[in-house]
Amino acid sequence: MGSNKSDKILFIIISVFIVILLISIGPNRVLNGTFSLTREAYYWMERGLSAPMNFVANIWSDYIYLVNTRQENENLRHELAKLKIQCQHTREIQDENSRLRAMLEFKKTSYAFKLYPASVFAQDISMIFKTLVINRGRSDGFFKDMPIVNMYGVVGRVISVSPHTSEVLLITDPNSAVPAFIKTIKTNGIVRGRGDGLLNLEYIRRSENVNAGDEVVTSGLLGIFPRGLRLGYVYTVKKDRREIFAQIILKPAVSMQRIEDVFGIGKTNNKHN
Amino acid sequence: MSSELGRLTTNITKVTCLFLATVTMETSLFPVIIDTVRIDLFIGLILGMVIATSFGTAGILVIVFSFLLQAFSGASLGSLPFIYLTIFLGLTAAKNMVYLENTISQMVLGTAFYVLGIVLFRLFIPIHISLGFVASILASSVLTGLTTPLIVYMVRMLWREDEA
Repeated sequence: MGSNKSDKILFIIISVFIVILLISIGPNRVLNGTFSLTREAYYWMERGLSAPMNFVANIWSDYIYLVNTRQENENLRHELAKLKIQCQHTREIQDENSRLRAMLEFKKTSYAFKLYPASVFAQDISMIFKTLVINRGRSDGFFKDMPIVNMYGVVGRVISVSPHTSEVLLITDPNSAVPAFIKTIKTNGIVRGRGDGLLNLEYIRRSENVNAGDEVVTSGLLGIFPRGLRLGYVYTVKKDRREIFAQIILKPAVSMQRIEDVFGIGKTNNKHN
Repeated sequence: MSSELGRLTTNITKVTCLFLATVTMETSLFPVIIDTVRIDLFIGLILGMVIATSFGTAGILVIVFSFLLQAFSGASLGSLPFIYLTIFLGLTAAKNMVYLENTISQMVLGTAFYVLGIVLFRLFIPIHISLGFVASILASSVLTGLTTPLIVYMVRMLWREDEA
């Protein structure tokens, strides 16, 4: 009985030691490799399990019910989403272009996104953290810090990749911070996740004229997200006399609960002539 | 001795399969059905192991499984093993005070320990607690409580099959 109790105490001490060790060493190559391997194993298991079901479902939906329509619709949906994303960016470029023209510093600029489609196959197991696992990884051109968007706006960025999967940190996660730009007043700030599905827009001075409904886009600073991608809309603005900055809450442009298809933005091809 | 080891290996394999099934449900199935709540089936798995297996075996499995869960979460490294280990130790302590085989006790413990888990998460990250978020947590905790006896039953069934 005494030995049993001492075994338990020993187990608790070792466990606490392991937990402290994990917390203190933080993310590193070996552990990231372990998690990548776990996700890969899960990906293949999920594929293996869903393959027979998909096969049966596909016979009905692709060959019996509708021969080509489903695939065509899927392609069109992807194409539409790609165009919408390109459009958001192009609009920003047009604004920038007219400003530059007005300043008589005209430069011919050509921007092109390379978009990589992916589908969500797992969501975060906790309620607090907001991450997704998508079915595309390193072998499909995805990389760490790759911006992830859908047709409505920014979803997040890739935080870790394995050969066939990527983990995406959503902009609503409390660990996420994205340099942002309020279009109406042309002011830069930082958009940070709150953990409850909304976003905080920080470092906007109290004196700025921000109103509910104002569109907030990525500013392009830090180089992770290209400029002009939609982040969200101003939801509430609170101004306290004792504070330097206004307390601004945004509603994300993307409904994070219902994400199915996303796009990774490849390296931007900028040609300045 | 070797047959005991073989039985233990078989039992661990079965529980690992159940663990993978719960991960699939938590990450892929539940978010599609109800997107605002998260049912934590792992609490039921821990409770089942506390009832059905020895302290050492259950403890090691809790550490290994919770470590693997990090692959499906944005939680900082070590936080999931810390939270689930705390829940495991709490449930082990409760074993001496509460009759864990009772379905109602399992429901109450599932609900209570889900809330405890959220409180512990709050230690790692400053999240904004809104009214909607509290409602989601409450709904999730109740649903976790309701599913806990089912997972406990499955663990006990899998673990005992060979012993009978």
